Amino acid sequence: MNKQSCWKLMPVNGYDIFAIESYLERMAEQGLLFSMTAGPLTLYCHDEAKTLQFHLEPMIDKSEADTELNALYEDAGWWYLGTFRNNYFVFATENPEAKAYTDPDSLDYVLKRFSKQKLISGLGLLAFNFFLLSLYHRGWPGSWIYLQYFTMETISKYPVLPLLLSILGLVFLDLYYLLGFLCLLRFRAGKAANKASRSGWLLTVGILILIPVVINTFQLFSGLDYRPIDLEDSNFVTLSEIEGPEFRLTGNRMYNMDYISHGGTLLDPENWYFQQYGTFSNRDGGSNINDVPRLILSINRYPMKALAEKRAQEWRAYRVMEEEYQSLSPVGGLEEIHLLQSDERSYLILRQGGTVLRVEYQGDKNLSKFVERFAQMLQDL
Amino acid sequence: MKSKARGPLTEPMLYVLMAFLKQDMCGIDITEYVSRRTGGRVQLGPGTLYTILAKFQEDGLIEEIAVDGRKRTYRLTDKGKETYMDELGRLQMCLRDGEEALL
Repeated sequence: MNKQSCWKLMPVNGYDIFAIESYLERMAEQGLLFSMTAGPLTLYCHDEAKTLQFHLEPMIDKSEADTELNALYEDAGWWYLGTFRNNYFVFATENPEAKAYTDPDSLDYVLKRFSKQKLISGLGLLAFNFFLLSLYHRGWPGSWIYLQYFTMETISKYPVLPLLLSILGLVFLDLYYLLGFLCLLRFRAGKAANKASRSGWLLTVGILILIPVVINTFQLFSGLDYRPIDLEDSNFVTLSEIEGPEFRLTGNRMYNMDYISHGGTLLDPENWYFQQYGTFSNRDGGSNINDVPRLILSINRYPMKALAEKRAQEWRAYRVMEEEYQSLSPVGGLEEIHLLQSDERSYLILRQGGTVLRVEYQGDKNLSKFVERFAQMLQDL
Repeated sequence: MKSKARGPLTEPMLYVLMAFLKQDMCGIDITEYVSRRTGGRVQLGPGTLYTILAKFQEDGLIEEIAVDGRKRTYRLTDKGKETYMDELGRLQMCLRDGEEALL
């Protein structure tokens, strides 16, 4: 972009031909000549302030300016400036008496076809609504109470943010479209612009809200949301490390992970999960998942420290035993350490900045001895 | 307008068809022809002319025969001539009825 150009938001609805023409004329009077559009933005070139008449020629079944169309307009004293959002070819003239359409029937024919085209675009928007909402509908946790008391837990487990942003962004886009289509119908009926014309901001807000949702969706579909890590390449604490080298892990890969489940997207906090179980068989030949030693590690990383603090607080609120968590003095760069230990089962919650770890351990070892080791593990993430 | 391609034509449409009777033409020639023919009474705006040409082409009344830079030359098809003659006949009947009504 050169120094003599400037981008501005288009305040009027992109389907309101009359309002856009009037707006571009006012801009020209201020010395800003239309050049092109990019989404809700419009590029203007600085020019001498002058009174111009603008005409928006609906683009029907075309994506580029037709040379014959340009020739006809130029021969009639108009000049071509560019395209407006793949909807119109923009022409201007200094002749206030010039008329692009001298036959109301031909104008009506063009507008009728353009309206049909935009109606099909509306169906596309409807499909986009359906796609996003069906993709993220499971983001609704089912209860406001759960969302209220376990906010971070809910956000980490369900796509709550994508769902809420999708609903909000689509409301703005749908409203923009509906108001715009009404404007188009009014224009066809020869009626002047009304308040609905000034709804250009709805598009801007809708797009801004939906940008993170689109990025998130791209990450989901491109597989960037799940990036498992080999256990060997990680510095994760294992059950064998806690129990000792002689300890036998179960051979069942469902319970004894040899990788770290790791993922996250723009709107889904980065997370790690790892679990290991001891062998299920005991000397009596029986096995019970609740009796064998186990280690379960859950980690979440949030963009803000306050969110991680909230997550640690929610984890502490779980009443798995009748006892309270005991807060320990921070070591190893950790900012929070909470331990709940009994003879058979222990829970450890550690927070370092925006990263929070919950350790669930079943066994007879003392987890407090491994706090610094877990701190190192968090640092190496 | 769609129904008018086979029924009554608008004045600009009739003159555009008329322009092709004697020779093949490009868009700019048509504007000049119509203006000259009607003594400036009927003016074809660029949007109107472009739309009429596109519609006539779609309906098979004219066909593109050459492209020279930004100019496209069209010629009248048999269907186009037939449509013109039908419209002319209709207008003659209208005129006759109108004149008889005055007597």
